[in-house]
Amino acid sequence: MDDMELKNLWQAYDQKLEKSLSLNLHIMQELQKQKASSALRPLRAYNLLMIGLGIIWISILSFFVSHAFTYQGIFFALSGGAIILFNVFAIIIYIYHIVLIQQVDNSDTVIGAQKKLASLQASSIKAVRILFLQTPFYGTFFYSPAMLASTGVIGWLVIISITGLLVGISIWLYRNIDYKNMHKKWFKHLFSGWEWNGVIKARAFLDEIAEFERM
Amino acid sequence: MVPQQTADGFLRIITENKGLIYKVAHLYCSNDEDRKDLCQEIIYQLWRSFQRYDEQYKLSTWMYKIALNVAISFYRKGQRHARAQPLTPDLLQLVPDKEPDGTEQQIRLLRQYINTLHELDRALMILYLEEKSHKEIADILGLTTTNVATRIGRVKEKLKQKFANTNN
Repeated sequence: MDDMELKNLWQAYDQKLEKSLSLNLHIMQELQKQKASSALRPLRAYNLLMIGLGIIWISILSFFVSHAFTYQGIFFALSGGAIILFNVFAIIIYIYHIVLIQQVDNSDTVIGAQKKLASLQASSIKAVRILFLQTPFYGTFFYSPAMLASTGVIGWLVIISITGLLVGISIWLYRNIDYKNMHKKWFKHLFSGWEWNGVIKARAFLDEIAEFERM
Repeated sequence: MVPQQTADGFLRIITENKGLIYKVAHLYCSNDEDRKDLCQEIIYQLWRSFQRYDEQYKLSTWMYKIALNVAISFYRKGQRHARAQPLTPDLLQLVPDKEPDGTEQQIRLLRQYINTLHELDRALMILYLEEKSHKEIADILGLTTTNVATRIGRVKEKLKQKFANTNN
């Protein structure tokens, strides 16, 4: 089948539609009366929820941290402060997502709009990477100078091992939570479930778009 | 409240271009129910965007951008959009042909083959078959004209190959 035949076939299809397709005017009028709703509403709601939960968590932690700035509470205050900082970073990413959602426009070019949408979905993983860095501080907040002073050699070994392990794991995760590892077993275990499937598919789509643009 | 003149203008545009919407929806949805939803979603998004439509841009370029973006997003989501107020009857109704001719089977095959293409190649092929210029295709998709020409060549080859395999 040559070019001309393909186009003639499509024209025949067009003519058939022209003859047999009708628009339901009543439904059309109903549709024009509908209030604005966006297909991105669930994504916006998810980001707003994460911002809300983050703010609540930061407020609670801030309250306790602000009352812990004493010599005995110094570990709690510093660990809590670090956790607050990582959560602030994560909230900034979620706010950035809301800004991106506002910028998605269907009348943009197909590549432009689809790239924005897929980037938006795929970047959820950035917030998760940052949040993993706070893990070691959940293992240090309950220490106190008095507790450390009375700890023996074995106790110190346990503390150093656990803290060291948490630091190692969190840094390893921060560096390795990357789409280049998405085919690996640990990655699939960590990011299983419908909410992450969409994110992973979005990343794959971004690669396809890049391939499409390359020719 | 939208002025009546705007609503009437939009209705006229949709009536004149209903085939465009149906064809795009048909190539991204094989399921009847989903297709019905997709047609509604495309028209709804066109309506939302219509009030901001800048007349210095070609109407067909604007319509294709929205129709293709909505269809690709719908297809990628892999499920029906949960609209706030679903409208059950068909917005676009197709009366079946009383006397189907020989081209019916060929058209079905062509649609079927385009359906197997990657979603971005599908958009490219629709625009090519609609006889859009390389410049307009590039404007709609956001590619360079050179890229459009190269990709069209490749996708056409794939389609011809599929037809050749069917005929053999």
